[in-house]
Amino acid sequence: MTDPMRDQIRSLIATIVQDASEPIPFEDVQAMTPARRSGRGPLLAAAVFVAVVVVVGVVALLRPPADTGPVVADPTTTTITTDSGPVVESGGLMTGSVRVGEVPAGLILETWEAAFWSGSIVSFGPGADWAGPGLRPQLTVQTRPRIGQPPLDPAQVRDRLQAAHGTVTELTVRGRPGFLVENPERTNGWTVALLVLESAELASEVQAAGLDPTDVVAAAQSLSSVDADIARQDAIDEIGWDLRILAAPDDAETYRQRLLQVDGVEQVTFRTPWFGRDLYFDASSESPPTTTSAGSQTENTVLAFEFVDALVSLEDGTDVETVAVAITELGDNPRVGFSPAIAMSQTLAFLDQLLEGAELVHDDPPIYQPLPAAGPDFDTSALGVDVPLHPATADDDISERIVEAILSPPGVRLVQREEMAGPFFHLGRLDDGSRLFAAFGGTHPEYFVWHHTESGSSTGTGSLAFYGYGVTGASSGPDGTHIFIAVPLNTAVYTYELTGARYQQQPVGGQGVLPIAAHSGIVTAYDQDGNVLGTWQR
Amino acid sequence: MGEMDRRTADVTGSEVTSDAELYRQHAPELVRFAAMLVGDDAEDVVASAFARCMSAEGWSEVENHRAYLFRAATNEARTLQRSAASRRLREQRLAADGVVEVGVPRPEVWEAVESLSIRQRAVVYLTYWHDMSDVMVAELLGIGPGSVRRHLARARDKLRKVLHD
Repeated sequence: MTDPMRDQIRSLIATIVQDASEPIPFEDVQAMTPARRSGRGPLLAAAVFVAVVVVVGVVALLRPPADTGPVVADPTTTTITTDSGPVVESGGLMTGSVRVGEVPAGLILETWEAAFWSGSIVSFGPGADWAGPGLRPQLTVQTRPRIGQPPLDPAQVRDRLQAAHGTVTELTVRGRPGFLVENPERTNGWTVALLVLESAELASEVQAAGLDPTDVVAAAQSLSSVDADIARQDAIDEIGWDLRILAAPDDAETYRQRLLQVDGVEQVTFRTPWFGRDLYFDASSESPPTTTSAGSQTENTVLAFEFVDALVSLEDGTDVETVAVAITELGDNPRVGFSPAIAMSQTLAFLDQLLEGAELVHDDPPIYQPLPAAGPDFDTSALGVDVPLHPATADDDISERIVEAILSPPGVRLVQREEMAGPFFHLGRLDDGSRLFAAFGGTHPEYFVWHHTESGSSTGTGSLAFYGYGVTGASSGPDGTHIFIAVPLNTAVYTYELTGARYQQQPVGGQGVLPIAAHSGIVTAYDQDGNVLGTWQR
Repeated sequence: MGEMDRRTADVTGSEVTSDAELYRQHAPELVRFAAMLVGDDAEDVVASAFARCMSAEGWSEVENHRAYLFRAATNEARTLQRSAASRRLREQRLAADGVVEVGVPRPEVWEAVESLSIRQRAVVYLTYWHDMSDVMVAELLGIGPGSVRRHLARARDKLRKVLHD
């Protein structure tokens, strides 16, 4: 059939390409070429896939602090491991299966934190509506690609865990080094984790050993839709997508089609939870394990989860946040992340907003006090106990000791000065003397918050407000525990509720902090007229 | 031959091609392709894409260099467009303060193309200029034939409005 537009379009193209310039001389292109990256050559040249993947399986059993002693994880029933599978031509899934002693059916994907270059953390739980009884189960699987890198030294891993958590018991799990970690000091209650340093060939090894898969406790398989060329093509992988979606839909392909229907979505590609450049496998190296649908439970109590990890490209000019919201509203509890480039762009835009009208309250290093959003024009007396955030002024008492604490935050490594994308911000001072500061930076844009009093400092991190709202973090220290909260920038006041207690605060820069020893609760944000902007529960 | 001008095995493994030869072989058509995507920045996009490819660890293992380069150029164009959009936004913001003048008029024909996304431009160019089938375009750009058809349909919708105005 003749295309009536063909001649017009060809004419249009001709107009453009006839003016195309000559290519730049090759010698000049050579001068632009950075040094070749090292370390992965042998792997790529051999086109093999045997990788040392550090797979960390974590079962975190959350409960309020109690005097009944730590939860003890049984290594034979709580190990979580993942394995990796072949690169295939069509879309695939990453599938994780786990057998845990007392896990109720119906766990859903709850959180996803992507440390884009260093692995992913995926957590399953019973969802916000869960009401017990017993301990709230949470399953967290953390994966870290180790391809092309030497195997980790178990002794070093043990020492690091010991330094971070205190109690570490060395185990041997299926002949591999493992560690039982107990950390009762975590703000979310007792945490028991079992970490096993696994290899990538777990599934085949299990099969070869003739073991019953249900006794193996866990196996996972990842398939990717990319071909080998793309899998190892840094130039494309690093910049060819805008949003990363993790979801646990009933049917992956149907979900992809629904994503494609969202206005502004140009392309959706399933990926492994790691970048293809770091992880690709021989199609014959593994066979997919038997799985069940997300959240279902089999007779032998093996729970299986399927989730898709999709990279989404947007049409140019599309508002990325609008698309992110639309995808969230599709259902299936997706986790939406921005590409590093977009995240940095968002961060800079957020910085611009914070700096608008901000007052310089300290010169070296520069510390700005952002303006608070317009306060409420309605009666807030019924919203609970007011916990004001006091702004700093130029003649405020941000002492050198506080500045020193900002520059050398204790305990947790926060952002390094040279990595910062902008100045420090003093968001407010609580009546207990603690202060909330923020800085932007790091390898990926993040929002660091910590509080400080003259008697000591403690640290915590929160999320950029546009990444998600509600309770975004908690910190503990000699002065007790604070929680951090993010709300929309136009929030006039927010409330925080936990076990019957209710507090209110005017946020600054979309952030709030409360001297509450908790890590969960219900946050409700109101605009100036008292309209509810949103409610978030954690 | 420079250090980066490596010899590379081709798809059959029986011949070798240097980076310089690859560049001479593909750069002209890539520049025309990139002109469709980014206009006057075409040669820079191609040079950047090629430089990026040469520095990529898997470059020597790539079997289809042409497809690889087309994809790299497309992504380089998308990056350029994003940074250009950000720059325009900042310049507009500064212009509001009376600092910078913006608003250089563009030829009408370019405005028609500007209404398309980078990937839509790529699909239109390869389909109409090179008479490639959707399968061939898909293979070259590393996307599915369905995506190609969708991009083409959306591009035609947009161009129809402009071309008929």
